[in-house]
Amino acid sequence: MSHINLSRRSLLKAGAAGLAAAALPVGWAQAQSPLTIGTVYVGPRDDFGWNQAHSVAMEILKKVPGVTVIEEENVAETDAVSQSMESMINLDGANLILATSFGYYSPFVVELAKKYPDVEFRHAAPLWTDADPANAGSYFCYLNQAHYVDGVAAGAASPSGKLGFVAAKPIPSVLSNINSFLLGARKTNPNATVQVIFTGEWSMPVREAEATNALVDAGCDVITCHVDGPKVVVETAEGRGVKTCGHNASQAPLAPNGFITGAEYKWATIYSMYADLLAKGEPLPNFVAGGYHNDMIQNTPYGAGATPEAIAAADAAIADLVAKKPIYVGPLKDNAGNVVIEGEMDNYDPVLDGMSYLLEGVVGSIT
Amino acid sequence: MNAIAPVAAVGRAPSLQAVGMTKIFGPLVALDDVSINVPAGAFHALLGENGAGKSTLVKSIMGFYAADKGQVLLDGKEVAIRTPRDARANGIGMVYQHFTLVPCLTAAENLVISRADAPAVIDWRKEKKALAQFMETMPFRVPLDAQVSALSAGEKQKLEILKLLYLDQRFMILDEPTSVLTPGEADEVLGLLGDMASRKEITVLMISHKFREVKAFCDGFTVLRRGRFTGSGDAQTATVAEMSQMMIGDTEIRERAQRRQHNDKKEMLELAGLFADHAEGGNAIEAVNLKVHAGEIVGIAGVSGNGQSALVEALAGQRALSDGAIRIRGQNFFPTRGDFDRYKVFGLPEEPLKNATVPRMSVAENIAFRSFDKPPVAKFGWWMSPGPLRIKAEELIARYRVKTTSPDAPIETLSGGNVQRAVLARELSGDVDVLIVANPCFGLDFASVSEIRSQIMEQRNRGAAVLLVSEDLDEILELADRVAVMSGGTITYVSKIEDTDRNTIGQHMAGH
Amino acid sequence: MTVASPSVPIHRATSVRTLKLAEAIFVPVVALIASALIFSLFLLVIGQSPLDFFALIWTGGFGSSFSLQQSLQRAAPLILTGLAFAIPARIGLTIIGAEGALVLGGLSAAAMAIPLVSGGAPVPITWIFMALAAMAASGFWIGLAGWLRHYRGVNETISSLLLSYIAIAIMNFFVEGALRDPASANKPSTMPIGDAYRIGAIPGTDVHWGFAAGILAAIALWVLMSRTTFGFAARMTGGNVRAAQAQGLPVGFLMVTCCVIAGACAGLAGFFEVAAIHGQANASLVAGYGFTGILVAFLARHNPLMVIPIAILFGALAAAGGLVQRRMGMPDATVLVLQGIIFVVLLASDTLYGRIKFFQADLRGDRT
Repeated sequence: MSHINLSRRSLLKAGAAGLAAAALPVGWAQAQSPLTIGTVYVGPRDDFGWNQAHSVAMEILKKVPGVTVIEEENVAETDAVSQSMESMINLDGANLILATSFGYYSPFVVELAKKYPDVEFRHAAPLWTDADPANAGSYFCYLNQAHYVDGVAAGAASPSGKLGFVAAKPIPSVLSNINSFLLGARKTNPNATVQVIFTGEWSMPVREAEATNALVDAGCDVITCHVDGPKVVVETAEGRGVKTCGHNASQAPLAPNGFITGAEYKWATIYSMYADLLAKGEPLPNFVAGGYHNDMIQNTPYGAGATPEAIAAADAAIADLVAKKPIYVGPLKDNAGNVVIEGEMDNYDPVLDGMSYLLEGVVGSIT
Repeated sequence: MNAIAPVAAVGRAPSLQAVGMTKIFGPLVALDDVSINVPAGAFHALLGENGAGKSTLVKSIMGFYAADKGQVLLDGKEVAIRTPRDARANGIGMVYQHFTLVPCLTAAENLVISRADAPAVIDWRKEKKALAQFMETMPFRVPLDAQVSALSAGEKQKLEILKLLYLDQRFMILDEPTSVLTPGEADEVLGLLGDMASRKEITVLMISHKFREVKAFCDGFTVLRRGRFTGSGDAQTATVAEMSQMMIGDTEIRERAQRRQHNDKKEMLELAGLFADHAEGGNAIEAVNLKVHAGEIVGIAGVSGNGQSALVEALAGQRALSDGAIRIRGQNFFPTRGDFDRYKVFGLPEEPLKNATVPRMSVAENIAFRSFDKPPVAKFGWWMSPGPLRIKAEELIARYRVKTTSPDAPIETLSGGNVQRAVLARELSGDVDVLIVANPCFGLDFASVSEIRSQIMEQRNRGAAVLLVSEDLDEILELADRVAVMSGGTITYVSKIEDTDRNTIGQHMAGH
Repeated sequence: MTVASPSVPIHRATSVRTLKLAEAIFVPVVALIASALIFSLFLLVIGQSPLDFFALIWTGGFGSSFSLQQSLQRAAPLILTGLAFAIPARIGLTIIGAEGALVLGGLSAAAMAIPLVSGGAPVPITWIFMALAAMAASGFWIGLAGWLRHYRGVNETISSLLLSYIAIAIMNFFVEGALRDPASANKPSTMPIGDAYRIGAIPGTDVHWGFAAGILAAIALWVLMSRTTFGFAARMTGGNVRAAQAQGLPVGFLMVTCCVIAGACAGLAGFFEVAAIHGQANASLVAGYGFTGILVAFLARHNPLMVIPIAILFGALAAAGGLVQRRMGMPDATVLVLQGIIFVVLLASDTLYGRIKFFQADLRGDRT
């Protein structure tokens, strides 16, 4: 077992997304021992969604000399993931584990980090806190910024101003994407509304197709979504002749006529940062989070559904986000009429992580 | 029956000879160098006990089995029959013990689809016309537009025969064709076939158990025993004794138990107004009232399907009663394990492998069905000891001469007679007050039949009340003290056996 | 009654039993070898080395103490869900609802834990109450399928499957609603039971106590099915319900009881998932153990004792599946293909029983 001996003091608060390392001990590069990175996925790596986004970025790490990447897909959020990670450590000698699904963290990553203090664990959701083991950590991208850009483009590209959103479950990260999409749309069309349907499951293709059809029937002419595999939603909407925005990975090939743009992660930024640090023998930060300003998310290249005005407005919105201009500017009311945001909110304000409402202009209910 | 057969059909009956037929299944020689000769226009009986090889012989002729040796000659010429399709092409057809008609189609539809060359799209108008013309030439009629399920058993059997004629199969093999018919229907159908055979329109080879029918309708007969030919002759001159001697050989038959007179006839079993639902609506049995006294056998006769099996099921707890009560010694009886033991009620259902055993469980376990939850097999009422179970099973296997390689052999590996013996051992080895018996000898060989009947008689003589449901009238006439006839789900006739006769009972069975 | 000496000596009993046992071992082993050969062909077709594959299966499943423990850990829930299929199967019922029963059991255990944990109840008491709640809820759930079958004529396969979906929906309803821990923002879960109340590993191993519980349950149910009057009556009913009725057995009671036992097994698995693995109930309980248990029970031919090695085999395949993916770069579905082949071949091999001459005592010499 090689000793990566990464520093565990380089804690960076949410929103800071620092790439700096605090200490420079004797590291892996100097020791010339091999580095093996084990990655676990919750679904198939070619799902046109979350897992594919990670898998594509993983190619960056595979190119780093001396680094071996081992991957396992379809690993359930049960002790199956503990076992897979442990098997990677014991049988393949993995010394960095990338756990890419939300439910992997507690208790599985936390417990294994305690059991294997010499192995580094990084998990793709903002869950790590000071109380957790120092050899664990989180990395996360604020995808709602890209959904905001989607909204800007959709508001400009939609003749009716009626937009539709197929959502899995009413949890904060989903609500944040819906609300950002609405605020973006209102930028280009102040009267825009977003109608949302929750399917209740992360992956329920039949219900996703039904929801898409229902939204189109209700008059929506741009559909987007936040479900595990956006493929069904995008294909169904394309089949109905309406425009679409994507989610998680590029769905542009699925909708040659109506695709506007889509919200995408840019895990490659984080992974190549990790690779650089490891190559230099420097410790990995415990917490990495970011958005447009540090190149951790992106929008899919514009498709045939994007009008020139939409493209211009979206490009401008991206420039604003890179400049850290806030999305949530109060006073904002939820769709029951209560004021939920008073003043300006920083795009990385932790308060937003606990979002539990739909803004005025969103048609739908979280209960 | 006035229609005259077309001239063309007369003299078209083929003759058939099978020579040196041998068929071996693993260690069993099912057919050992058997020959049979059926002249053109004959009505020939094929006799033998169960397992004698009759079915193997006709199935080899029909091409279901490939005989290991032997040849089949049709009109003196050798024919190669490898599949049932070949048999059909050569004009050989078979009527099975059970109907092969499609119940939800009409008679006409059944005829047309039976053709090997039935077209994918059927021009019904044309077919109906052709069928009507065909029917003109037939000596008997079946309503062509009626759904088969609505036909009586006799009509269905006629339709099966019509089907063979329609397909121009003039050598007919009939496998116990009258087992589902009333005596009257049986006589009518066999009479018609006999007439056609005597006009040389068809040749018939009939498997039968019933000497009466053989004597009345057949001209020749062939007997098999244990896969071998044991004799043949003229059915009209040979005596029943001679034929049965050929069938059973020198097997020693146990002497029949004597009927003992009981003077004190206590009422034991009472069926009071029993009703039970039919699966497809309506009543399977309705208002069944009957009393059986201690030391008495009451036989229930009837054509299959008139509620007898529903009655037996209700008594055995396999079917719920919708109304009425069963009383034993005046007490209400419910078919639960507790009451079976309390009132000493035992049963010999028909087809014991299907109704009274668990085929995959061992002989010893099957014999323990009555005793597994009582000492000495069960301790504390729940813990089973394999030792006592085995000792008891070995004792009963020996006493009832159940032939099995081991008490641990699955009971499904035993022959029918030995399965029935194992069930007898279980049900009759204790103290019996009420015995419910249904077709106990169905499909069994001669020796087993007489043994089982004597056991039933023995229970009666001991003082048990016996309810005997049987489709075999001879069995009832032989055993019963009183006879009841079931028709349409209810009891239509009750008489002391000495006050009635076969004809009277037959008329009530037919619903008159 | 004429008493006659037995016409066939019956001293061969032991040899018949030995032959049956030998057959029961020989047939599945041959089937497993045949499956491996067929799968090797499949591997050759896709250009992979069968030798490498099976070497990895060995390494990942049994090759080291670590691998073996992983296999046993994965086998733990499969033993219990396998029993949940096998016991009703013995009485002739095809119950495929163990998945939902496991989830419902997990939810009930987690719900029962909330007041006990917050009230600071002693740990063993808490575990007992959690396990009882899980077994009772799941036992009721599968018992319902048995009841519907016997008293309402509803096909138990369909009803248990549908009840399974309803159970999962109930879990989601409570986990996202009344029982939701407010801290579980992005993954709705019940309140964690906390480390103090977690069931740990069997000392000296990484395998949690659910494995031991599974083994005990399998042994207990084997005794129940083969050494008690209840088991005898259940086997009679399963072998021929008409014969069981004619013997006056309480068929409905037997069926419902077997279903309740099955549900309790699945519920116990759910309890261990919560108490030993997750520490709370959430959507991760829906992990497919209930459905894999069906395969396990089938391959064990519904024998509770055989469920143990088969579950370990499946645990090993699952454990080694990850290694195969990582080392050979093959998709996760590869191991599923192997499982599928094993399943089909073993089902087909069922027809071999009683056909291989070597194992047959001369049972048919008695034709009369």
